[in-house]
Amino acid sequence: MIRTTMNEKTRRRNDLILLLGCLLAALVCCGLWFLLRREGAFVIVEQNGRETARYALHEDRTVRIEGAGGYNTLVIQGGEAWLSEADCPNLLCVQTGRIRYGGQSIVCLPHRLAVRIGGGASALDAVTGG
Amino acid sequence: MKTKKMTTLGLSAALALILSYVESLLPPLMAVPGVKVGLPNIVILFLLFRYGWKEAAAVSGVRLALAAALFTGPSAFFYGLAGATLSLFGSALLKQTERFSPLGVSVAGGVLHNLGQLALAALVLESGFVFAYLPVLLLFGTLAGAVVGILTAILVRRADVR
Repeated sequence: MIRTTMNEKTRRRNDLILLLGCLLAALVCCGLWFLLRREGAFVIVEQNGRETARYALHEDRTVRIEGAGGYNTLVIQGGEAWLSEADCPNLLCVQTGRIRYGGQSIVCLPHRLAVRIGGGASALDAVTGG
Repeated sequence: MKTKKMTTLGLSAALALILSYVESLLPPLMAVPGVKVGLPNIVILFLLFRYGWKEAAAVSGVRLALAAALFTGPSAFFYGLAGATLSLFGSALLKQTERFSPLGVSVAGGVLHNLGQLALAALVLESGFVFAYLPVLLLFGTLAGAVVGILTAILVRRADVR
């Protein structure tokens, strides 16, 4: 039943190379992200996949976003945006923390809400065509 | 198809379905939507090693369809399908080379799974902003693949199912 293989060792080595290769690729991507990220210019609010509001990232404000499932409180302050409060069951959106770079987003799946950072001369957008 | 094999595949589909339900009950590992271990893939990978890619693909498809109908919903079905297709394709190829153990095959599968989902998200949202997730998804795809791979290797070694 058990196929004993002569090259068990070689396989384990190949596994390890593959594993480290993937981790390295992840690391390189992380590095690229840190190098290419640019601070965004505005905050885009999307509900049910459609843009419902857009605010400048550098104007401080607090907005209560009402949706089908409930509410989320969006805070924009000091060039950062975050969801400070919500009545969704898991509060993942609040735990996501603060975002400020082009392409970053906060998602609240229960309320079908996405808040993302857009604009700025983001080099990442140039790379990804976003 | 032998009755024994048919029964085994049916049970596998049920097991994979239960595992995806169990996983949906677990608290998310991170505040990034979609980051999970992928417990059902233990079953799929096991089938890939015990039978072949056709059996693995069939059970994977049944599992995705049933999970979508019961609890994950239609969008999860399409994202799951995109990930599973690319993942199984890559895993089957890698297994074919006979140069990797379940661990290596699974790591490649985990990474490809995330890449497939991300590619679909980029297409659907017509935006590259999802690729801001690429680093974190690569990292977690690798780790999730390693966990699934280690568990599958134990199963392949011990479970005498054919």
